[in-house]
Amino acid sequence: MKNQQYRLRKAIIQSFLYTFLVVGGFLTLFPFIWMFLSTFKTEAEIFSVPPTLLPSSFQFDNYVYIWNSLGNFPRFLFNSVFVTASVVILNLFFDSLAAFAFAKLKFPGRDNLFSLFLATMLVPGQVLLIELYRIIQNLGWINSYQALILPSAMSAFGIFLIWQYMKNIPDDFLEAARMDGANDFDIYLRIYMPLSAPAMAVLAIFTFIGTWNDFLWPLIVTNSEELRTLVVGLALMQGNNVMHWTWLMTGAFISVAPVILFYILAQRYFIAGLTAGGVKG
Amino acid sequence: MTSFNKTLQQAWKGRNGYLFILPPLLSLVIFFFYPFLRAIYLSFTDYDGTNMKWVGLDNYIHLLQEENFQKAAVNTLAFTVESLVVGVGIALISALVIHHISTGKGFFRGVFFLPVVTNMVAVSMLWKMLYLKRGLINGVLGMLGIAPISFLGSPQNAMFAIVITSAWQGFGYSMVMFLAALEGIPKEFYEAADIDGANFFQKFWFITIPELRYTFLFLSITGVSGAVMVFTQIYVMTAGGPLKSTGTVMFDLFDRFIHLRLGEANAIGVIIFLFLLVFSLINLRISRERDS
Repeated sequence: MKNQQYRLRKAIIQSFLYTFLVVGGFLTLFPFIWMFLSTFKTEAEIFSVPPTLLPSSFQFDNYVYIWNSLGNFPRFLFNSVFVTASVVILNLFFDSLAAFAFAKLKFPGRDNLFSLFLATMLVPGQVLLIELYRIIQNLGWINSYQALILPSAMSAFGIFLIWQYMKNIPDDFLEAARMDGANDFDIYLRIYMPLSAPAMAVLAIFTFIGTWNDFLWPLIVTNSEELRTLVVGLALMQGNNVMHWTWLMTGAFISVAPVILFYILAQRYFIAGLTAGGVKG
Repeated sequence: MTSFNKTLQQAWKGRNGYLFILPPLLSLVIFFFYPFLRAIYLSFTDYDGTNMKWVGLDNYIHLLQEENFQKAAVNTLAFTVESLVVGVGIALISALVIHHISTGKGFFRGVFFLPVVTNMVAVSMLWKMLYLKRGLINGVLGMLGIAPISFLGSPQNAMFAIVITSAWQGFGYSMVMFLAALEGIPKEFYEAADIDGANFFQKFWFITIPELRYTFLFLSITGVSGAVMVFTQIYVMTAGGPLKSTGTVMFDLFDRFIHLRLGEANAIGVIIFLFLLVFSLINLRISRERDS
């Protein structure tokens, strides 16, 4: 009897918890659903009174319009893909190579140099913004892919992340491979880098999200449509005089859709990647 | 002399090490140390991009006395505190609920985390549309017979509207941190409390909250660092208005940069850096303490 009462109480509590989560989940996802449905609506429809959820007909006019006629949308998309892919690849290579040196090779000054890298993580990038901009300007790189890619091609955080993982891989491989006459770079490329794959995946996702979503830096170092990334192009579309909210929502949706798609496919890695700074290894 | 020779020999033997860290080291010098030192130097000058004049601490004194900057600092502080309270609050509640359900933990965790991966420009635009006088939120309020509210158009409401958007976008991060910490609390603590006859609230207050103290601290510190830098939401949703009610220090820095008041803009950067440095050092200390 008592057991039954206990189970009933538990079932009631559980149903409360699930109700809370379903309502909370709805509030979290609904703005995106509204954004998605808005991409098929007309301007009058998204502001209809009372509000209607579904578009009267699923038409693709907004997609066709922004793709063909609004700024240089295909170019924005290409720039985002190209810049993000370059930054991710460069970080994976350079960060892991440096992490290998710091974790497995011995050379005088190693630990001091490593501390120097770590110390830079205390300075937020925004503080450097202006003078970084002026370096890019002096190099003649304003409005160039170099400006979008090179300053973020390597990161102290990325080195730290891979280092944390690599230092726990035994040194035995290093010694054995050296006996067989392998050089340091081979040992990195064939042994320690592949063994660090989980940490590399975390770094790849962290860098992907950070670069794809970046706003302030690409905003200030580009001033022509040819070099704008999707996120910057989208923000500047707002300033256009004849702007429709349906177009903005379609652009916004295109900028979040690839990220959400990847997120659904590799959710665990995304959560691990974005919280990597917070969980102690 | 011999020890110097020995070091040289070791350096030669370990030359690959230097080679492998050379690219990031160069990047650090060009894209970090040089701009960092320059920013500090220029913060003591009056500089418009061509003419430079050493002015000592004038920029700092001027900024601290100037109404514009004071207002931006107050706004930033308000945004920081509000978004931290709202974001961490929602995150804690949802983490506690998810922690106690029997199945589907991963699913709900994934749902609440989703906005974290999306870009702030799209999110700000979306919410700007929802907040319009004729937007969806007022549409729904209208159906309930409530008169339309001006969210972003009113100096009283605009900042809090931005806080809600930011908390909505970011609370999933804090929630994941809380969930990880909750999993780490030994079950024995609760079993012992059960034996002593503790009720749900006692267990929450005397076990759960104290066990989450490091998570609270960590989230406050990282939360402050993120919130002090708030820019994108402001740029897209209000551009600092109405009546400068949402202008933040980062927005102020950007504004002075555009108007080529580079000495002042860099001084703002240095002020932000020093402010955050205090928090980062506390964070370092705490994580060291926790590890030992």
